[in-house]
Amino acid sequence: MVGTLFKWGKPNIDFYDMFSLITSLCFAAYFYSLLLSPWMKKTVITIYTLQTLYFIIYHWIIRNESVFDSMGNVILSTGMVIMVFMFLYQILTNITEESLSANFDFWFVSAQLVYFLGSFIIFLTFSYFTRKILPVELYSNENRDVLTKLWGVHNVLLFLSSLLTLGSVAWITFRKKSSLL
Amino acid sequence: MDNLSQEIIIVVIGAAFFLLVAVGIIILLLIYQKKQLQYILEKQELKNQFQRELLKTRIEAQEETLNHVGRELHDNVGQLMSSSKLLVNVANRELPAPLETLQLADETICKAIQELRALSKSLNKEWLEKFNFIDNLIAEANRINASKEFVMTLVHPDEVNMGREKQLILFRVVQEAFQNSIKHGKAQHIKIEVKQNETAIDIAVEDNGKGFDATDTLLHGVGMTNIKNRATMMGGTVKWKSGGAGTLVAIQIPLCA
Repeated sequence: MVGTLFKWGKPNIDFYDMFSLITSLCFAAYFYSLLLSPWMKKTVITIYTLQTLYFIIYHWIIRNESVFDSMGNVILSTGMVIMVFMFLYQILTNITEESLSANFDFWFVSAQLVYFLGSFIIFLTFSYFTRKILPVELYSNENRDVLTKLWGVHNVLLFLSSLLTLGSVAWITFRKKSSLL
Repeated sequence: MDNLSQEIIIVVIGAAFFLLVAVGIIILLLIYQKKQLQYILEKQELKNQFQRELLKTRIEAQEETLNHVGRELHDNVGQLMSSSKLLVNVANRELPAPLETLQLADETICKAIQELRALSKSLNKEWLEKFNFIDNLIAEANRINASKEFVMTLVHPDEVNMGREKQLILFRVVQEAFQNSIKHGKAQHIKIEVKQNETAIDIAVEDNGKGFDATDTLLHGVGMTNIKNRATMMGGTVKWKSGGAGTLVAIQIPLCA
């Protein structure tokens, strides 16, 4: 991200922010349909409203520099983790005869937990590190590479999350097919 | 640079810690759900077992009552009818010319005694336990056909692979089904088809009666409930099909249960 920022001289931060906003909308809609109790649905709406409000306030009022929006991503991650825990709570309180390992929603939500909880601390500190290396006397390829590696850890978590989702789809399909045989 | 690297390593360790927490939560949830599911299934099994025991006790009580009624019919009512027959014969002999009405009464009493004996036998548990399901069914069909009011046809294998006690319960199920056809369906023809394979025994009791709305549970009487309870106790199922005229009762009992 930092590399792209300085390579082309045009920040891609707006793209990341827009992506966060779309992610927030999609997951709010997904959890709204997934969660059953009214208080959980209200919590989802509140989380989405807070995220959108923050986005509007930050982009139109607060923001004065093109660096990674740590606070926005932390709010997104926290909201996601809350929604994931609400779903897990729902599972624990409504145990059915269906095995959890055959439930796609469980695996998909777990994958989101892996990504958002794992990346939480990276999101939280990324703008701090970016600001730290931006001054001319500290800016070097070496420092930039260290920061790129940190973002690489985030990408690994994203990959793990995708792998978990993909693995669950394969596992559920395999189970369904073998039960049909 | 060193300071930055150190800070980033701490962040990476933190991310790894959170990742482990997430994985731990997922694993714990899977284990917890598995244990809960096991607990629910065990609870369900206990409940089913209790229901089966309850049904068994209820059916045993019913059997005892039937047994008692059968014995009373044979020992009490049967004796009274035999005495009546004797008295009719005595009265007939004392008359100079035998009265046609008395002869008819004698024949009627004789027929009633035969019917009573057959009915008493079909209610007697000890008597039933001496025979298998098929023998009982044939005897019951003969008894019903002897009345000349109904026609009962049987399609059956030579024997069924079941314990005596289960055969008796099965017989009571079928007995209840065709009694319903006669009593409520006002059927003239009843066909009972018994099929057996390696895993289950299928019995179809079909009549040409007036039928009923099988989907209306309000019409399900004690007889139907008894059929269902007895079949459930043996791990089987019962289905009623009735499209206006005629009724089909399809009973399936697993042989391994």
